[in-house]
Amino acid sequence: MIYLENVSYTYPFQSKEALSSVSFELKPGEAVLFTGKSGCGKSTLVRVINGLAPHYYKGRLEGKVSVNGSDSLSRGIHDIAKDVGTLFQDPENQFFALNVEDEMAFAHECRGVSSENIRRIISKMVERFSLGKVIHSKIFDLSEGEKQKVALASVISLKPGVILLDEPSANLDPCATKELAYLLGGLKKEGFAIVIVDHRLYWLSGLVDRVYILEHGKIVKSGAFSILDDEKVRKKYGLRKIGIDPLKKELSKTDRFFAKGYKVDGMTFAYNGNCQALFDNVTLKLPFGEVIAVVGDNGTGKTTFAKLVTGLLKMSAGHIFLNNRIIPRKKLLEKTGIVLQNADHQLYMKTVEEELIIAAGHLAKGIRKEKAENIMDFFGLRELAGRHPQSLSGGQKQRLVIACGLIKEPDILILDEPTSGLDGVNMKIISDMMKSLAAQGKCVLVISHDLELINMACGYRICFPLS
Amino acid sequence: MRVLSGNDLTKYSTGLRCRLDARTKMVICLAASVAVIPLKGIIPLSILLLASTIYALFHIRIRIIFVCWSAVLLMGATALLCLKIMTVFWPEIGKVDIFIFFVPFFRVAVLVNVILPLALSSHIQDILTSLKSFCLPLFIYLPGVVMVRFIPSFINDIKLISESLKIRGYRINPVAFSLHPIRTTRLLFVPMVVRALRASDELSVAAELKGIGYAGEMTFYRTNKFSYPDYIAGVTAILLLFASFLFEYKDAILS
Repeated sequence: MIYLENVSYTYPFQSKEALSSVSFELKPGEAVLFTGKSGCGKSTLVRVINGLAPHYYKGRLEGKVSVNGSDSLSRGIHDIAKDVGTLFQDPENQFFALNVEDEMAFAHECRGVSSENIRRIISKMVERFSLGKVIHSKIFDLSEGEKQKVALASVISLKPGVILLDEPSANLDPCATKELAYLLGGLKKEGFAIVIVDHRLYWLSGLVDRVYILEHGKIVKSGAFSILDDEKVRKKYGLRKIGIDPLKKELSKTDRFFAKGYKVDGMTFAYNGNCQALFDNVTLKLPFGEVIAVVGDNGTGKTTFAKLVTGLLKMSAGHIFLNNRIIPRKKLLEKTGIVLQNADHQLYMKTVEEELIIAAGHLAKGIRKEKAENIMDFFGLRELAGRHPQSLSGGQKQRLVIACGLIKEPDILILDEPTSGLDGVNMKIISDMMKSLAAQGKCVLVISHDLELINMACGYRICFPLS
Repeated sequence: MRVLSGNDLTKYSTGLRCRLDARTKMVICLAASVAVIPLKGIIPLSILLLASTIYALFHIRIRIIFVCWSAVLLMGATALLCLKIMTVFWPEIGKVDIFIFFVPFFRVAVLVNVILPLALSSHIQDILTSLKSFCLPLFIYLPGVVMVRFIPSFINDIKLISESLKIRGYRINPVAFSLHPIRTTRLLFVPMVVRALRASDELSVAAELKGIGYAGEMTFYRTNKFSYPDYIAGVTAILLLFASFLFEYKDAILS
């Protein structure tokens, strides 16, 4: 189905190869995993297989890439897409239409399929993927798990033969991840060839037949999934764990143990137009000196909760107390810090150092630079001080936006999915940073589906939905 | 901009506003844009301005129209101020007919009145289907579709950028622009440009993988249908355009 022989690929204007002498073969009904540190060439491999490299990204490709018996270099992307379906990390990026039904129809319309046949195909997919409830929904209204399912249904409806999945579990909660693994298992049995590229490994043990570890664009180790059992191998290549320990205990509302911290009292909130409140008279404590995981399914209000605690959204009733004093909403943003998911929206300046100095605007001018330097040391960003923030890698950007949130010296720092798409090494850096902040007496709330991070860093968890 | 960001339109689905087909709104837009180019007279332009204002009021909230008109008025007032300053230093310019001066702004106001209803009261999916149903060549249709699809992603990005600025405590207001013009411009535009580039790249990749540039003929899963309000709107638009041109060229016609 897929055959790669000595494939090397170099992006335009780059001297270093992104992929170097990669060879592998995949037959129908097989599933393989490619993993490795961030920047090891996993996404480039996906682009080489689906033809985006070199047809869209240009660059230089050497070696032989063959899909379904045809040489990819001699085919256009549309033609390769008949054999290869791709599922991106953020499925929203691959949606072209704005509602589910139209999205599922779109690729068929482009291929000239009659409207009767499209209707038939869609109804089959709706039945198979249980999409009946969301078929007329807007794409933006779906949960991450539903988006992933719609994207997968759209891909499968084209009967591609090969399915490529780039970090499919990065935005999914554990339930949705389990469901995805189940769906992929079914597709594998039907004869689909499946290529998965992912950092998170715990959900793949029963699914993949072979594992390839990439480093600097080369396959450095391959074998059955059991090669990942060896902790030395995982440590050497910066990989994550293959199993997940049970989650830490839940933060109790009545816990008297915590002397200092924030108290959310009687929080009530509903979005405009929704008669049902998302939070109804919620009371809980957020203690200082702890890293607390905020867990729960997609769409249960975790990010909304963070925005209410930081004053970005206004509660319809309730207050936030610090040491028995109510903090007005306008003061909340000064005392709290929140780092949202997409780092691109949060970086503005010419250099990493300038970004931190500007973020330290509340401090006296004389000490801003010194503070920025200390924070850079803490986050391992010192060597990148002169780099443009938008030119950094995903993990480096993530550390920089957290550093910018931290330089404000907030009492509570809230991180929304800080390790989405990060490898084991970067995840550990972020985990160590959170623990260190808690040791300094801060409260760190981490909204995450990353069970490995939660187990590594968090002492308690708050489960959503909050009653 | 709720409609452009793909939000639910059900609240607006009754009445004339959503009953007009997206194609009708597009054609009205196109006809008005072309018609205002040769028109210069106060009566013909006033006819179009009045008619387009009524059309806009049927489709969007008066507050939105008011904000847009205020922006046009501000542009006009700024231009007039600049002109007055110029006449002080360069008296040869002479006295300017105030109506002639404001003709371009009349045209802009008409365009605002016809474009806003298309942008703010149509489902993007309808616009996409309409573009397809016009059977335009691929080199016109493809960029058109990508542009239309780009709008909700871009608006979503702007929302996130403004939220991020608020979190960091950066204020984007006239005072900030006056005190730190370069920094404030950078805060606003750097993430916007970066996100716009990324979003357009992502959409192009999605389009390629879906086979949007496939050489074969496309089919239509949905088809839009005209109804009687479309015919009424179409006929009214033709009559109004005819009347405007009649007033503009009545001297030439009578002689």
